Amino acid sequence: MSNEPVPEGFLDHHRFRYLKVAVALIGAALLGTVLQTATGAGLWGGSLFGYVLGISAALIVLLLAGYGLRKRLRPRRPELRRTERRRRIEASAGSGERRRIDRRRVPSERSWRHGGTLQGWLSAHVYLGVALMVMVSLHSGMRFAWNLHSLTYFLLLLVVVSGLYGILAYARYPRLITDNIGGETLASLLLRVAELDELARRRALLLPDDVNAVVTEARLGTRLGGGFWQQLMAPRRDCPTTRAVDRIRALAREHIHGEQIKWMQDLYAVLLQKQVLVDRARREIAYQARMQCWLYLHVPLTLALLAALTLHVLVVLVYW
Amino acid sequence: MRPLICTLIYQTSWRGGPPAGSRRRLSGDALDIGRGAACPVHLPDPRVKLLHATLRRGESGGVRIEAEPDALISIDGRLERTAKLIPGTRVAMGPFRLTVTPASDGADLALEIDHRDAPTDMPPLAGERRLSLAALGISQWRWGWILASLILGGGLVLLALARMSPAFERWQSGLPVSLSGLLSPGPLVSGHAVLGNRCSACHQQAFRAVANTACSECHLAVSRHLTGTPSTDTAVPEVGCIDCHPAHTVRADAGRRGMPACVRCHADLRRRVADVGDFARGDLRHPEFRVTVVEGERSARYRPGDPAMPADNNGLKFSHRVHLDREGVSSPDGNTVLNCVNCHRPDAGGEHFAPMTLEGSCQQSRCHRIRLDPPATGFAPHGSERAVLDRLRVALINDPESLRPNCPPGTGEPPLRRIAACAERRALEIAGAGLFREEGGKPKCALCHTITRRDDPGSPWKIAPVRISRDWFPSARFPHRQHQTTPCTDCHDKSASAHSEEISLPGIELCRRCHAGAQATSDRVASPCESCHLYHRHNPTPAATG
Repeated sequence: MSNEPVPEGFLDHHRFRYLKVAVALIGAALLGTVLQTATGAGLWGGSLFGYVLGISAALIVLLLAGYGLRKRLRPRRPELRRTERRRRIEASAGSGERRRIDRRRVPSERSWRHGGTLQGWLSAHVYLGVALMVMVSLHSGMRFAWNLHSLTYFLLLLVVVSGLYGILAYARYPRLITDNIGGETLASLLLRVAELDELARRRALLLPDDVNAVVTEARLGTRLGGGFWQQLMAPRRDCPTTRAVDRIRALAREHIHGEQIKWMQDLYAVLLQKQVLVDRARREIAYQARMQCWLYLHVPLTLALLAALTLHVLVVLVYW
Repeated sequence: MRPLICTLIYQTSWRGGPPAGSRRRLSGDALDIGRGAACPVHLPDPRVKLLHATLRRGESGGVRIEAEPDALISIDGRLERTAKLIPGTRVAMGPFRLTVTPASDGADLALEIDHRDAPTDMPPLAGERRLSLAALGISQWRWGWILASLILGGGLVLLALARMSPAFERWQSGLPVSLSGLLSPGPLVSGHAVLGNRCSACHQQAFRAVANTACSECHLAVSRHLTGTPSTDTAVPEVGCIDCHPAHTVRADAGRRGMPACVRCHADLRRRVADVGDFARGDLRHPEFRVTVVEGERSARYRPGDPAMPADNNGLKFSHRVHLDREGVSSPDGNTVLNCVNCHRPDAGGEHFAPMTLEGSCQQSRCHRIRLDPPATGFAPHGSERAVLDRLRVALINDPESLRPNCPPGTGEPPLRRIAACAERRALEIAGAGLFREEGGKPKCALCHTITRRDDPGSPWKIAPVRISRDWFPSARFPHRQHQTTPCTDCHDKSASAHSEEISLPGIELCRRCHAGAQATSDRVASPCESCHLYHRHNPTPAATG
């Protein structure tokens, strides 16, 4: 058994620092709600506590949106930046002081960047996002209508829920991708599929026309990838390659005889290999799509949320 | 027949490279064309049949091509079953193009077969160019910016139009779906639905709260909360109408207004404004009640038990103890057991009691009926001393014989005037000796009323007016009808009270047995401020300005 420490992930970053912050935020929001309702004032966005919740939530939204910027503003070669910083610190210190330079004065590679590590930002992004769901729900007083304010609320919920899906996707699909494709790539799979197609075509040339028709249909009809939903779907049950395998098996029993039996066996083996590869390729495409699709909601809806939030605040101020 | 000799010229290239050619000489009675291995003219493509066509020598000379029954060949662009091949003829089979060229070296036919199209003619895997979401060309950011621009741009335009264009506001308010409603926090309360989502009707200034003047444009006769001017502006903050009357149903307190706004001022009002009741700081319990007692032309408020509180001088002599005797009260109809509601009957509103009258409250069992002595008949009228005396006077004038002993003739006066003067004197004698007698004997009017003398020859007695307090707590509402499940004596124990001046009103602790604060508890009902108090004074004054 290895004694090496388990690497820290973004969920348990700094011993669940942001989980604790999120729990504290949720607790404070619930406590304030209880106190607010105990006075008979009721809970709604325009109450004093409602404003506290709303302003806090808006600031957290801006903070979490900053993760997107933070992720894209990271330096290209942080190890060089760290070396450069150490060199500058040592150059600015005297000879006596130079020996006393502690490693703590030179931030580690993970934390030298301004504003903390990317992992820390992601950890806050996740946990504070969940806390936001509770805070804005209390801020809304759970009163909804067809208006901008409810739109802002539901946009935030969609953003957070899509983000939570992203966490689940990143936890689930990398392992499945590794199990499915191993050390290969999608391009290499496709190359092998093309080679098998050509091989099957050649094997079928000396066989009857209906065998050739099956092989041709398997080649022309087999689809990989496609549109958004086609990529997300699991391998198709009516795959032409699968049908070709079944059909070749049936044709071999019907009217293949003599030397053609050997050729049919070869063709059957080729098509079986192609079927396995096509399934793997489809799964690879689906896993990759499922792991990325949430970003096509998360990012656009975040921008829409920021716009709606800005308008929400402006309208509240105008119609004070 | 001489065998058919054919020269095949293959043209091919490797992956688009320069063309390369090869020659092959065939001979036979017939030369088969197909993808089958036994075919001398071998065309390896699945679109070509195992045996697709045959080359034969024609009966009239030359070489013909004959297609198999289920195979298709194209001769110079036309589908044919058979054709004579001459130099220049183009034959298409599957992906292959066969061109007849001039023969040489004794051959009957030379066929040039172009292989260059065949290997690359099969299409690649369909859809393989869209193998990832990124390949779809969908940009996360582009859609985001479009969405954000639509929301922000549309919202700002709508906001600007709603604020700056009354015509737009009127127009959109008539639409099935109000555009301003998209900016509204929620539907208006039912009473304000007539405004039709015209926000500027109330929100007259941007970045400012709705002013009370906006409310008073419609609500003209709403009285103010404070009757007098506050001592200082900061002592009693101005309360906006919307603090208590939310216009949008989205507010949690839309149906339960008042409590927070009330407590905001009354929690420590005494610290800022002297001589007012308040809620103790840190303890939002309601202070003890204060009873309003009328003293002459003025009234004052006292805490229960305050030694300075005067008696209720209502002008009526009445003993609850006698009338609530469990054995009953002696009456012409026998002993009658009375209850509170026999006299105190709730009025139509259910909050107060209908005024008590002699006929309705005191003569139920033919009690308290004063029969007049002859010559008057019937019962003494109630309500006015002068009415009693007039009744006696009329009876005496109508019966001059009864006046004869006290009204001798011969004074020279006209008879009618003499009789009237005598009736006047006699009526006063009768009233003074019986009805209005204050002491001695069995009292009649004085049984219930305090009678004093006054300097009025026509009516020398004055019966003290009866002024029964209608409302001991004029600043609060207490619907008696809603409390009928509770015996009257639980709050007003008058069973031992011998004098009507004694006040019996409950303290707040008694109310707290059933009433909680703003929030109900398991055994007490919710009772926010407005359940007992009205914010606006009863006497309408112009609404507060803000």
